[in-house]
This record gives sequence, C-alpha cells and structure tokens, in this order.
Amino acid sequence: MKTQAFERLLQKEFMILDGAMGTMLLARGLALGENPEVFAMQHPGVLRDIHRAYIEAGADVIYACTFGANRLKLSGTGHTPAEVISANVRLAREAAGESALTALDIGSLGELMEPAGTLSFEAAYDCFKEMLVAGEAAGADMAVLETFTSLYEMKAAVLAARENTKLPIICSLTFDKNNRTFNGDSVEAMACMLSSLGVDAIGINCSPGPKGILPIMRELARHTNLPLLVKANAGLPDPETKEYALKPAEFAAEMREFAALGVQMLGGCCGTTPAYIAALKKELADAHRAEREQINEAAVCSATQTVYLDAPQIVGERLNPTGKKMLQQALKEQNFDYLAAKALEQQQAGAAILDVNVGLPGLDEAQLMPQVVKAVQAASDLPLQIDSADPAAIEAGLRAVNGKAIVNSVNGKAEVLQSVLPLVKHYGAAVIGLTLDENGIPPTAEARLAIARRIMQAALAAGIPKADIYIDCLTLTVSAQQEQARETLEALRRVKQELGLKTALGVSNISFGLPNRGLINRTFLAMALEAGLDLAIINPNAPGMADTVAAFKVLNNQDASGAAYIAGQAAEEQPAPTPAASEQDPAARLTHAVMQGLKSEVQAAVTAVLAQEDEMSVINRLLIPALDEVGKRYEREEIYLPQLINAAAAAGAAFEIIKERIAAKGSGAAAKGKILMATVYGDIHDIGKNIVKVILANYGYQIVDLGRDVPAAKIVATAQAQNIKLIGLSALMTTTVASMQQTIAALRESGWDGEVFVGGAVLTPEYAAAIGADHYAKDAMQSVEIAKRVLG
Amino acid sequence: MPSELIIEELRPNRAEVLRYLRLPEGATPPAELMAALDAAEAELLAAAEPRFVWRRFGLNRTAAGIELSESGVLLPGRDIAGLLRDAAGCLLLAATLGVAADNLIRRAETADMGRALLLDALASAAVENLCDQVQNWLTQKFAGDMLFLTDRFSPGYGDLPLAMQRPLCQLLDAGRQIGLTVSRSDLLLPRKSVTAVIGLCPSPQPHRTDKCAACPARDNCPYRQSGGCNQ
Repeated sequence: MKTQAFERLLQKEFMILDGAMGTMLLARGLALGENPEVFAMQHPGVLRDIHRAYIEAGADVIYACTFGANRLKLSGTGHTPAEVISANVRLAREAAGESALTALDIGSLGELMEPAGTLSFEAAYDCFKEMLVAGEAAGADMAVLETFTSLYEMKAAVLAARENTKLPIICSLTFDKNNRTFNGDSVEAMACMLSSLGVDAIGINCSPGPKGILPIMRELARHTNLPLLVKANAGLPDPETKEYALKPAEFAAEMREFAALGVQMLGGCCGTTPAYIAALKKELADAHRAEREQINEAAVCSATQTVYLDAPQIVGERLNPTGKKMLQQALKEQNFDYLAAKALEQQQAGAAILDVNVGLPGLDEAQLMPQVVKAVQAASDLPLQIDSADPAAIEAGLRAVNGKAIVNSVNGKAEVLQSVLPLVKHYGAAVIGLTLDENGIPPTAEARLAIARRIMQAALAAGIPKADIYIDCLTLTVSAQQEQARETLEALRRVKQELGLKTALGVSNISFGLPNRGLINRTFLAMALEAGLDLAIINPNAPGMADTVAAFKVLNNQDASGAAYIAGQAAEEQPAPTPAASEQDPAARLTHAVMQGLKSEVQAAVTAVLAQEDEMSVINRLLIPALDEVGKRYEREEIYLPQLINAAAAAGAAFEIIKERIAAKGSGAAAKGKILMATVYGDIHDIGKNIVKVILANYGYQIVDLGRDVPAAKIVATAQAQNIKLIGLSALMTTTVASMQQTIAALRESGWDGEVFVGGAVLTPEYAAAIGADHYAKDAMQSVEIAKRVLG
Repeated sequence: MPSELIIEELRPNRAEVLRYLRLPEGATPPAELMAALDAAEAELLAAAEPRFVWRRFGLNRTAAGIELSESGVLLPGRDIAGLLRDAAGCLLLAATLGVAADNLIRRAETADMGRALLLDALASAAVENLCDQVQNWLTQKFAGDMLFLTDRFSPGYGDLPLAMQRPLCQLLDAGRQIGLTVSRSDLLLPRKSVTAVIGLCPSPQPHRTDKCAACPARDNCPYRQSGGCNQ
C-alpha cells in the first residue's frame, strides 16, 4: 500500500518535498547545539505547525523530524531512537493526514566510517536498523537517507532498510565543490553503486545551493536510470551571519533548471522555509520534466573509482593463495599488511580491479573474507572482485565491499546459479559466469556458448541487468590441449557477438608446462583482447602483461593519442644502478644499501648475495648488523628518524625476498618470536606504533598488529589464544593513557603471563611504571632492546 | 579585503616539520631529507582539501564560568578564563585537511613508512598553517571594528578538557559544514584537524599562551628541555 502511494507520486510531473526543519526549529526556540529531534518531541505544537506550513505550501512529502535520532547522537539525552522516532513520525503522520506522505528522515550518523574513522560497517548497520524498524512501525511511508557523505555508510543504511523493512528507499548525498563528498566519494560511484542496490530514487541535498548542485546532478543523471531528487540549500550561507543568500523566488527560479535534467522530486534544505516551497510549487506549475535517456553502462566501482568496461581492463589476480606460500602464511597469521602491500603493488602496476580469494584448506573463508576485503580497501581504492566457491564467503565479502563488486564466479550448474545469483542481486554486484556445468568444460565453442546463454537467462531471471553479466570462456593449458586455445577464443568472440555480454578470462593457465611462460601468456592475452576480451584477469606485475593491454588500447583506438600508454612508458624508465655500487662486492653493496635506505638497490644486492650464502647467514651476518649500526647512529644523532625508517624499510625489502625463499624451500619461518602490538581503545593515532612495528619486524620478530582503537578484551583474547609473551601498547593522548592502564589491568587479571611495553608522546618512564607497564620504550630502537631482552 | 577568505596554498613551516620528525634542535637536515620533504609536501598539498568554519559568539559570565551566547555551552577551566579575561566575545574556529590527507598517509604506510612519516609531519604543520591563515584574516577583519584577537586555544590544551571537542563541533555544525567529526573518545576525525577558541577583545592582546605549559607532552618533550619549542 505504502509503496503504491509512493509509486503514484512518482507518476506526477513533479513530487514536491518539504523544506528545512532545523532552520524552522531554530526560529522557534531551538538553541544552537541542542538536539533538534528531542526539542521537537518536547514541543509537539511547534513541530505540528512546521509540518502543516509545509503541506499548505504544497509539499507532497514531509520529512519527519528524525534526521539525527540515532543512538550515537541521542546518547546522553536520556532518550532512545525508538522513542523519539515513534513520537515524531506519528506527529508528522497526523499533520499529513491524506494530504501528504511522511518520510522517515535519516541523516548520516555523524561519525567517520572505517578505515578513516572508527565507525564499523556493522555498527552503522545496527544504528540504522533500529531507526528504520521504529520508523516503519510508527507509520512512515518511505525512508529518506540524506546528507550522507560516505557511500559505505549509505550501503549500511540501504541494507538495513531492505533487510528489515518494506519501505521505499530514497538516497541522497551531499557534495562539495569538486563534485566529491567530504569523504572523497564520487558522483559516478554513487550512480554506479546505488543504481544496483535496489533503491527507489537517488539524489543530492544540502550542498552549495541549486546552482552549485546543477552540474553535479547533470553528471549523476548521465549514469543512472533511477528517479532523481534535489533538495537544495537556499544558496550559500554568509560566512559570518550564516544567513542564506537566495530569496524564495530566486531559489525557485534556480530550481526550475532541474526539470530539464528530468529531476522529479524537488524540495529545500538548509535555509529554506514554507515560503520557498510555495515559490517552488508555483514555479514548477507550468514546467515540464524532461524525458531521460536510458543508460546501459557496464561498470563497477569503489566509493571513489568507477571502472567502465568500455575498454579492456586489468583484474589483478595475485591476492589468491593458490601456489603462493607467502600469501598462505600471511592468511594463516592474519598478516593483513602483507595482503595490503600486494594490493597496492598491483594497483601501481596497472590493475583496475583486484580479485580477492582467500580459499585455503583449514581456514574459515567466510570469516576471513570480510577482514581481507576491509584490509585491501584500506590500502587501495580499486573496485574488488570477490572470488570464492563458497556462497557464505561470497556474501560476507559482498557485504564488506565499499562499492559495486564483481562476483567470481558462478557457472552453468543449477545448484551454483540458485545459491549465488540471489546474492549478486541483493548486493548489487556484477557476476562472472564460467562456461562449465555438471558435465565439465565442453570442448567446443558452440557448447560453451550454450552454457553462457543458460547463465545469462538465469541471471536475467534473478533480476541482474544484462550489463552486469560477464562470461569467462575458460583458458585451458595449451601444452596439454593444444586445439583448445582457439576454441576458447572462438567462444569468447561468439559470447560477445551473439549474446552481447562482457567477457572475462584468466589468462596465465594457458602456458603451464611450457618454457618462457611469459611469452605465451602475453601472446595469448593479445589474441584474447583482439577477440573481444573485456576483463583480463592477470598478474599485472609480470613483465609485459600490463604493457600488452596498454599497447592493445593504443592499436584498438581506445587510448586517445596514446596518452596513457606514453605516460606509462615514461614512468617505467628505471635509473641504472650507479657504477660504483655495482662494482662493489654484493655483501658490501647490501650493507651500504640498507644503511642508505635504498630499497631497489637492496633487492638487487640481496639476490646477488643469496647466490653465495644461505638465507640465515644473510640475515645474521649482514642484515641485523647493518640495522644495529643504523640504530647506533640514530642513538648518536648522526642520522634521524626518517633515515632510520628508510633503512628499516630497505631491510624489509631484503627480508621479504629471503622469507619467500625460505617459504619456497618449506624449511619453516625465520621469525624469532611473536609480539602483539596495538594502539589502545579510544585512540586513533597509530603512526608511532606502526613505525615501531616496521623496525621490530625487521629484526625478525613476528608482529601481530591489532590496529588502533583496540578494546582491551580483544588484546587479552589474542594474547592468550596465540600465546604471545610480549605486548606493545601505544597511546598519544593523556586521555587515552587511562585506556592503556585499563588494558594492562585486564591483561593482569586474565592471568596472562607476559610483559608489556608502552610508548607514546605523553608517557614517561615513571608514568609507564605507574600504569603497570613492565617497560617504557622511548623510541623504536628501545623497543628492539626490550624485545631482545624478553624474547631473545 | 575580501568578504570571504580563499585559502590558496598551505605552507607547512619546515622548521616545525623537522621538529615533528624529531630532528634535534639546531641539526642540519640532510639534503636528501629536504628533497624527500619537498616531494612529500607537493603530494600532500595536492591531496589535502583544506576547509574551515568559524562563528562569532557573545560571552555570558556566569557563576559557573564563561558561557557562549545562544547556546548555554560552558567553557570550563582557569586557562580559558585567563585567555578570555578581557574578551567581549569570542570566535570558534574549526579547520581540517579532510579525509583525503588521512587516506594519503594511511596508504603511504602500506607502501613506504618513511614517506608516511614525512607526510604525517607535514600534515600536522599544514593544518597549523591553515589555522594561521584563517586567524590572520580574522585579525584583519575585526581590526576594522577595533577588535583584537587573542591566541588560539584548543580543547586538550591546559585545563580545557578534550571533551569540549564535541560541543564546539556541534556549535559550528562542523560535520555538515566541513566534514569534521568527533570520535567517542573526543578525538577529531579526520585526524589532521583543529578546533579552537579565540577571544575578541577591545584592546590589543599579548601572545600570552605558554605553548609548553599547555602541551600534554610538556613533561618529556625533548624540545622543551632545549627551549626550542616555545618560539
């Protein structure tokens, strides 16, 4: 019923929304900084007057006074979200009667989302769920999620609405001057992500007045088919008086421009009053809403990057533990820094999308997937491809993704299609379908095309748009089945031409068992691109692979003037090693390079040294002494912190190579002992802790980094579960040292048997002793001394 | 003078940056470090999105302390009372480099901790410079009304509690105006941000704030011992 009433309104030429609530409340006695929702609840007469004035001005929809009625903003007021929302929605419903619909108004929660902030996706979801359930119960006709600046937060709110209510959902973001939100999220990503997420309308509110919003709306309209909304401020506020610049008639005249973009829901935000809405209604009386062109784009996105499949794109395949010992070890140890670094390397090498696969026997994939997704998102802003055969892991991954992801993969098996396609639809993802089924991989292009067609039909039936269905015709190994390379390419060509679907292909399978695999891979990649490949799933760091795609785009007229190609080639020119360095013996070169912090030189030197010495000898005879010498120079103030860190990072590059060789030999890790590190609960300043971590890791200690803002209980549980004997805690602020003290107390009470060292700007040796720490570390080098004493 | 301040380019004070990097007072920074700082500074300034918001308030002197007009928000403590002793009103200021600066630093930590360290120090100095630019402009603006500004004073300095971050941000509507939020432990997010109280006085004000006395790290700061910080 409710949905029908909303649908009817959408048929109108224009749907008029109300104007500002806060502006009206301030005029009626709300104090600055006072909670508006609680004030409104306590002054029902005032609230009723405001709603009625907007209805009389011509609003078809009024927003209940619930914008900030979330548990974070209400904490300390003595009122719950359910109480405030219930009262204010009911009052709005009464005021609206049959003349208008009532929207449950939900604003951004007011805290910054992870990873930049401390609010987790799950916590945001819970806050929104509580509001939405209360709003629906109180009789709201729709949910408006507005003034958001984070698409991730928006996703949490949309899922909370869809999974717990039947309310129509309207999403509105606020943009800054540069067409991005305060959070950096883009208009294109908003269109890409929300158009797939099953919402009913999207738009823009607040922001810099109608004139400022217009170009942003034009961009939004270009990338979505959803109904559009604008609720603009009354121009820009005067910086001193905070008065808004536009008068009602001027506001209305500027708002009229949106009709030409096909925007159908219009209202006012900050600074507008019933007079503005009346003027808007009058202005639009003789206006006509322009017909909008249908959009049919194939695209995926993160919150900041949108990738269109109108030219071939590289999907980085290296976040996959199959056959990668170091990655397997990192996943087992939950060393997400390693994964983040691999993500970044692929981005720098030209990947546009990152495949994420955490499938490893013995590990809980569904539990690990969201953690890895979050760690990768913290390091890289590329869209993600969730790669798993386990529907639970796919779902957990899709939930955690900030953006529109790709699911890799489904295939022609009925059971797989039934279990995975509904997830793809629910989370607004795109999907890769493999052309195999219960009978395996068919040998002919014809039969693969038939499976592709079946996948397409099942996906369409599940409500997935055609543009979001990609087909992988499967690369087979040419040394075993030589005739199959051509069949794969033929199938790919026909999927594109006959079904009109985008295509994906994991390329490097082709060359197993052949010498010079890179050559076969590059050649096959070029052939596949010519056959119409859209998503090349490759190792972008392998020589020539990303270059092949770049070159193809020039030859295929998809890189205007070859600009991207030329820029890429220029960036790749590496300076030759200095003759002096290459003349020295490898061991001296390595020591010199570590002490000077020369990362690339270290990599070359360590490889040369390893040709002559075994791994442990290189660590003990060369790397550790070099680091010790660097540490001594730092103590003597001959070098400074930035140089110390650079030397440690350079040594880290050497350790990386050594660890890979040890892992490949399967002779066990070279780690000396485990150290747990965390920035304590309530504190978010973690760069000091991260510096100490880099240094300790390079002395061979295995660091279990729990991050920042870490609750004491998590530190206790991790220390006990992993039997860790040394814990390093950091806190920057005086206020959070108290949290450090509580953490130490909790560790002692738990019966944990180990030592704690602490560091941070406001700590002193005396202060450290007073809060119960065993050691105080003035700086990173002292942490090494402590670790040597405690762990050896 | 223009009615609105346009921040053109931030100029992080290099001496301040070197102090944040823990170079000893008087040390000559190596040429490579200065070159790396130049590169990191260009990167930071390209990414940073400096924003600020300010608002003028009257002051009510009550038995409980100094209260901001229109809001009932109390500014507790002796230090702020000292700062505002001669003040007829005050300005609240919030400034931030935006989430983009935090993201730049966090991502640099993954790839290259040395670069992250430089970016972090530069960003701290850059947000101070942003505040200086705003304050200089406000100084000129109010000079026309024969009003003089005191130094800035921020929650967490002296005895002005960190918990004041939240009400100050609320009064400035800082979340909506510049994307500045307060964590549940009263820290500003994005991290490279500042809020401050500035007194508006009828007579010229000395720079009376002893920065060290107000600093939470005063007891073990290496620069304080050498007298270097309080310039």
